[in-house]
Amino acid sequence: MSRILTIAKYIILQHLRNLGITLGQMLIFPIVVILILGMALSPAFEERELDPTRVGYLNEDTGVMGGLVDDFLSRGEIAELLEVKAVPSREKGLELLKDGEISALIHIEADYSEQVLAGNKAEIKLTGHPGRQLGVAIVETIMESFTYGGNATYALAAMGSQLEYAPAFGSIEEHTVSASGLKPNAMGYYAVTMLVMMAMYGAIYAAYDMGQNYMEPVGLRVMSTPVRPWEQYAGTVLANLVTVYLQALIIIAFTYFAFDVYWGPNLPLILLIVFVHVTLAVGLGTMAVMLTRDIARASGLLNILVVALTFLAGGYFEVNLPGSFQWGQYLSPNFLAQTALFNTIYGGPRNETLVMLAAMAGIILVTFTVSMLAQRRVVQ
Amino acid sequence: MLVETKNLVKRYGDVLAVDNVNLQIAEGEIFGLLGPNGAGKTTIINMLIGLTKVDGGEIAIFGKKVNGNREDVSSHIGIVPQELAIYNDLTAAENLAFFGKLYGIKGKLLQERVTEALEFTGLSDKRKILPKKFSGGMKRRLNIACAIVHQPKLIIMDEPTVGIDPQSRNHILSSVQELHSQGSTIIYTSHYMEEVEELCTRVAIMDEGRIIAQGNKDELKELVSFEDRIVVEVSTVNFTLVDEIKRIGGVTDCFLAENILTIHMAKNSHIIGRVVDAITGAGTEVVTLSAEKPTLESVFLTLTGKKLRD
Ligand SMILES: Nc1ncnc2c1ncn2[C@@H]1O[C@H](COP(=O)(O)OP(=O)(O)OP(=O)(O)O)[C@@H](O)[C@H]1O
Ligand SMILES: [Mg+2]
Repeated sequence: MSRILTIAKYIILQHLRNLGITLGQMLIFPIVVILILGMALSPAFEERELDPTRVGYLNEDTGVMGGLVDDFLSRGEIAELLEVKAVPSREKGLELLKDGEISALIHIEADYSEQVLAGNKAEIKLTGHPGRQLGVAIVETIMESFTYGGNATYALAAMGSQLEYAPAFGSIEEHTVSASGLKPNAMGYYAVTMLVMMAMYGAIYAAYDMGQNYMEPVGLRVMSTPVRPWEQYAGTVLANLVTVYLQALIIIAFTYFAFDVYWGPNLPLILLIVFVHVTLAVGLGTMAVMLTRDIARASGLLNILVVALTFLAGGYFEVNLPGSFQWGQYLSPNFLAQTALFNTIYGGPRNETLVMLAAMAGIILVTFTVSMLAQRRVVQ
Repeated sequence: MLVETKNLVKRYGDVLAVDNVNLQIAEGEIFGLLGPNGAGKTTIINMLIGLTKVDGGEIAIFGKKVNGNREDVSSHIGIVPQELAIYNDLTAAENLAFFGKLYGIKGKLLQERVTEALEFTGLSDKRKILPKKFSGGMKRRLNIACAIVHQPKLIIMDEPTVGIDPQSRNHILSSVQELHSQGSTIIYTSHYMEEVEELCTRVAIMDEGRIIAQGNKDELKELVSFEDRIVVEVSTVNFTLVDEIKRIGGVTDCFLAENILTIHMAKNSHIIGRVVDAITGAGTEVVTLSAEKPTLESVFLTLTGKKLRD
């Protein structure tokens, strides 16, 4: 075990030494593409979010607190930030939300005043549009400033409340609308496809490192130490998984924080899908170098392959194959990963996600089996 | 015997790369494997360390069969591959630490061994430098350092001095002698016969997969030198002297060019004294006298009819 970790550690160290290449090819490039395509093609995917943020407002509370929220939202400085649109019912509000007419829905239930005055837990319900992280954050911050802020304290005092002090009376309960049926915006789309493409480029790392193991003197030197062949293999796979996966995480985090890209309600599943995809890429790279027995040729081949697979999967722009050829997209592992990711983010069918994951697992099995068999022929 | 092979065979398609090779290498030797390009030296080494499958025959190292004990056996071997086998993206010290760890050395001991190996190969001040920035000779030295960081009992060096500057080469040759004096057994392959002649205690000469001669240097030379030869510079030229020398029993040939006498004589005939007597008796003086010994080069030439290098 410790030898596997030693091998992995020193390979990762070499990856870090090549940080220039790593950053350029694996991180900055996808991020720039996400930004440029995401911006340029934005109109094709959705209407730009307007300033101020449009928000639906449903106030069913006829009590004193409900009135305070009305007053609060109609104040001048708030009006600059929010364009409040009253909605007749929660259903109608959610409908507008799905259509993207509004970015968030503020819902105050009928017993809100009652609960607050009784000192119970009371909540303002806030439902956000998954693709409008920024807008939702604005609404949330504003509503929090109401529930926790001096306004409320002052209001309570003015009402001659019996409360001796004004606790935070009520909190924001945030809901995200079930994303089912939603479509990603341009940024969200390219964040996913570029992430998938970047992970695929990880195949080239794997080809290089595996090739070094079996085709280069330094790898043969490692083989001549007490290290067992499978330890060398496992250490190399591990190093590649770590490096490529970390890069994927950086892209996810970066697009989330810097571009407000929505990654859906189920982050663990997203991380799993990405991990499976990274493993697939490493398997593919390993297989390529074992079959060609030539690092340069394998890298060249993979470079072309990644572009082709990304293209086929609609990674650069949406590709619509004619009806009877639509299955063709499933030939690209990128498409499998993208489908699973989009489903998870935007509430598509869970079954399909599982099928995609199973198909990817199948490909992984094939790549590693083929590499294993080919490796036996490499060592003569 | 530290290393012993019996009827070792390796085929690559039609090429018989190694043809029934029998080697016996005792502890404490510097064993030279001398042969031209393609003789099969590297192939033998790769079989010794279990990198290449053996098609026939047996190998025992430290008294154990390599097949089945590779891990155990390999932990006491250090290999200097013919081609540079170092990571260009790891510093000199990291390269050494990596290989040291693979041999199971850790912690403080590892740090010490890394420092020692760097000192030994004269790379102490290059510890934190990437080999990318090294000269060819420095890379060769790091290539050696990686093989000795775990202080192995047996060090195998496959043409460690190929293509480097004379200074690095001298450094490497004296390192080999130093490692030997510290108790390591060394297998040294080369097609520079001068190196092998200078360093090695025993030598096997290979050609086309076969060992064509094996022994210590004198034994090998015995094989080919049917006669000894001495060259004498004389003060005055005297033609009757030539005939006189030819009459000495054991002398097979003698000729004079300017004032240089070249005399061929049967091997170990111990007649140099009589030759000198004959010269001085003829009223001439010996200015210089040298006995020419055959070289390994001439051994190879005699055995194969080829030169070691073109
Ligand atoms: N992997 C291989 N596949 C096919 N033939 C090989 C392979 N390795 C070596 N050979 C052949 O085996 C023979 C011996 O090669 P080897 O490398 O052992 O020679 P060598 O004595 O080390 O030569 P050099 O001084 O050039 O290093 C050569 O004919 C070579 O072409
Ligand atoms: Mg060789």
